[in-house]
Amino acid sequence: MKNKKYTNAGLRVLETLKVLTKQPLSPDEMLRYLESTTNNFYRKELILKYLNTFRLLNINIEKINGKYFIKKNPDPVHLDKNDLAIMLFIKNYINNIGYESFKNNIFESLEIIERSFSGETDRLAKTLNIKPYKPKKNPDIKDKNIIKFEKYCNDKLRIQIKYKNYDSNEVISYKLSPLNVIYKKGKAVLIAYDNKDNDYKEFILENIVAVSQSPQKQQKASPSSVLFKLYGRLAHSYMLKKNETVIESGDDYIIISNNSEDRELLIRRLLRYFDKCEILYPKSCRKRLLEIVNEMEAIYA
Amino acid sequence: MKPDTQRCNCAENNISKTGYRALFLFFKLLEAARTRDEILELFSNDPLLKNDKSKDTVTITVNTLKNAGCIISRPNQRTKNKYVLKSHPFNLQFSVNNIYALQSLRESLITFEDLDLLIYLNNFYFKIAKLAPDEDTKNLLIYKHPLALINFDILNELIIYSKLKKQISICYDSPQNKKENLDFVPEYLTFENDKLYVWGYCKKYNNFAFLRVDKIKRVNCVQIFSNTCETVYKKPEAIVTYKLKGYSALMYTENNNETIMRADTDKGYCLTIKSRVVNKFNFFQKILSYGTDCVIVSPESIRQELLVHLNSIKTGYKNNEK
Repeated sequence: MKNKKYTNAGLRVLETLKVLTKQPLSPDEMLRYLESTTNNFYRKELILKYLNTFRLLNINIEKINGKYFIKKNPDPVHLDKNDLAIMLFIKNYINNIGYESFKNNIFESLEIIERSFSGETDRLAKTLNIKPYKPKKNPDIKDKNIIKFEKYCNDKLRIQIKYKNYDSNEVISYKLSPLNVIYKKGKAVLIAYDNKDNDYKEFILENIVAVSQSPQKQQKASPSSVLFKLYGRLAHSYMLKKNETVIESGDDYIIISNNSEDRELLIRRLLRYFDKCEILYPKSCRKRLLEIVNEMEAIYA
Repeated sequence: MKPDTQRCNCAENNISKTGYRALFLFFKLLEAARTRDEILELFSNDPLLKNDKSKDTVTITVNTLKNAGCIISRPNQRTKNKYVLKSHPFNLQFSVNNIYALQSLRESLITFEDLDLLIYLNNFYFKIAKLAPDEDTKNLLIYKHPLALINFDILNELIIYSKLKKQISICYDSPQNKKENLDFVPEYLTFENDKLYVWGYCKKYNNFAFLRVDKIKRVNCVQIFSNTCETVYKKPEAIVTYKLKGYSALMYTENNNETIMRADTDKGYCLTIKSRVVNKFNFFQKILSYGTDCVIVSPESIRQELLVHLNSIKTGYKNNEK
């Protein structure tokens, strides 16, 4: 509900400032924008008067090619030299990445942050010779063909891939609904829904040897869950992962449902828990875990 | 602010005084919460607003800010009768897509398991969260990371005492024994499987243990005159050589206790790793998670111990089938 006692002129000045935080505008454009989005009446002279008011209050407004824009955020962000070192690290890291929309969004964010620097932060950035944060290990980015996969994800059509197994040279075909591309230790990984197995799978891009897009639209993902039981102290201290839920718990156990993790990777993670974890459902995952255990035993036989 | 004379000249020329007053108050509330009297005092010190002495002027100006989209809490006892500016629409803001990209960036950097990087990044995200378009996305930047449950004062103490290798007394919320006080000599921190651990000597159990940092509820005291840990206890150590292939080799990164001895990209088991094992439980956890991508080369005793663990996993499944 609007507050009753307020000044119209004051509100007009504030609305004008709000508009300028959205995009650079000429006085005419500001006029049109304000009249279409507010109930107030504006004149061009008023807009110019308001711009003077901003300047008087040291709000950094610049005019380039007839358009006004807020050069500096009125509510600044104070960063120290560690923050600035992280910003430089992010710039370098993102520069090496090929995932266009991701890259653009991060650069856009960095620009907004830079325009929000406080005076002191600006001074630090200009006077100190700040070096990018040096990670323990330099990230080695591997994301060849990512632009193609970015497009596949946006098209929302199904794809068929040929995937080279990690440990053998065996090539397996999959029909998938591509959902997203993420980076794990610098390697681009495709997250996709496999309709046949009814689960999400991860594919390292550099191991995809062939890909083709089909005209079929993606089907809605309705993955089945993997249920596992944890015993003893693990049951009390387990931290749920993204999209995991506890479906049953007792004094000394919990049963967890997971429907978002690549099953092969999930099984390996659950092996970490020794005999304090048991996969209950589906049988195929239970069987696969025992298969892995048998194969590991065979290595040492 | 500009000097008084300059400001008065401008005022005579072409500005909106009510707009000036609203923005003047906005900037003052950005600095700190203020009472009505404090605001009037600030008005009286400004050459353009010095005649604005009415309390109604403050109410009207606050209402104007609220109508423009500012969230300002009503003065009450809890706020010590101050107006508190909680949020406002005058910032350049991230879009929701910007926020998701920043979050994806953090998730991708977490996989490098570089604790310092994650701490610096979280601090940075905390500071830029004010540029988020709403509370949900702001919370995403501040809290959605694996260190969210960790008390940073405790973490800082652990970092300091691990460098000094001083014995400390901590209150640990163990899943088995509930809250207990432990004498502990922290040595180093690791970030594994999205969790932060501190490694060190635990006097009560007389072993070199790793504790989850989020379960440490307090650092009770420090033994200022304790000796350094090397003289107090001897770490149990086994030097293990193992090989990796496939996905595990592709995603492997060295850590405090491990180094790559050989990397032959053309061979099946392409990485040979030398590991200084100070806690077998943790070591076998890691080896099990590699599945069939891993083979322990030596020593034989560790190979045999792994077989015992594999057998107990199988037995567990068989017993539950019955």
